[in-house]
Amino acid sequence: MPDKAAGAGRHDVLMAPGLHLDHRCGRSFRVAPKGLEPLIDWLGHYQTFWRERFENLEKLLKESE
Amino acid sequence: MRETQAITVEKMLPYPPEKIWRTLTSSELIAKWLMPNDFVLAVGQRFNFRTTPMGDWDGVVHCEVLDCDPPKLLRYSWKGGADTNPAYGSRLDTTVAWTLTPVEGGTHLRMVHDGFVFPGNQFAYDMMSPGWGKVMDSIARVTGQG
Repeated sequence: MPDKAAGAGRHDVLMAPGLHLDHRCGRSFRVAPKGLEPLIDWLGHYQTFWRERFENLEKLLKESE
Repeated sequence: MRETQAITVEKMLPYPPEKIWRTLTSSELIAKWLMPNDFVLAVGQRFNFRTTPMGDWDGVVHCEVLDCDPPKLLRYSWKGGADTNPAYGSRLDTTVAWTLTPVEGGTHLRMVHDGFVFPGNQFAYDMMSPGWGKVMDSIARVTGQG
């Protein structure tokens, strides 16, 4: 069982700059998998969203030729 | 530590900028390819997009026209979400910019959706903090077995 001091240390790590970079290298999965969700989920959502909407836009432009 | 991330989509379209500009700025046309809206083309004008609610978020995207230079540039704010949502549906404070550049045979259309941040908000961080103990326990167990 980790003691409280170790837990607090982890929070410092969480707030440290560059955490997300660590995540992209696949090294910080044990540090902040949930904390990264707001970014990843919105980004993931809108990546798909905009790809689909661009297709809609192209279709609409083609129909109105 | 608030670094922003952006989504960029670019496309070469075989149409003049004016034609594409109309589809980006007519409320009726926007509804056909993007989302239901009450868009009005005027800097400072506020408008909404309506999408599916998620948790404490009513699904309304609050926007304001920030820049308008027909038929070259359109930029608006894109805000939504709720502080109490942890992931998709969390607070969102972003901008969407459309740039139209005439090229031979048509228009180069570029969309940049910018301003995604981590942490999304302090609440999300605070909410997750109690979970760290469990994560640490798991690590300890895994390490212990190793």
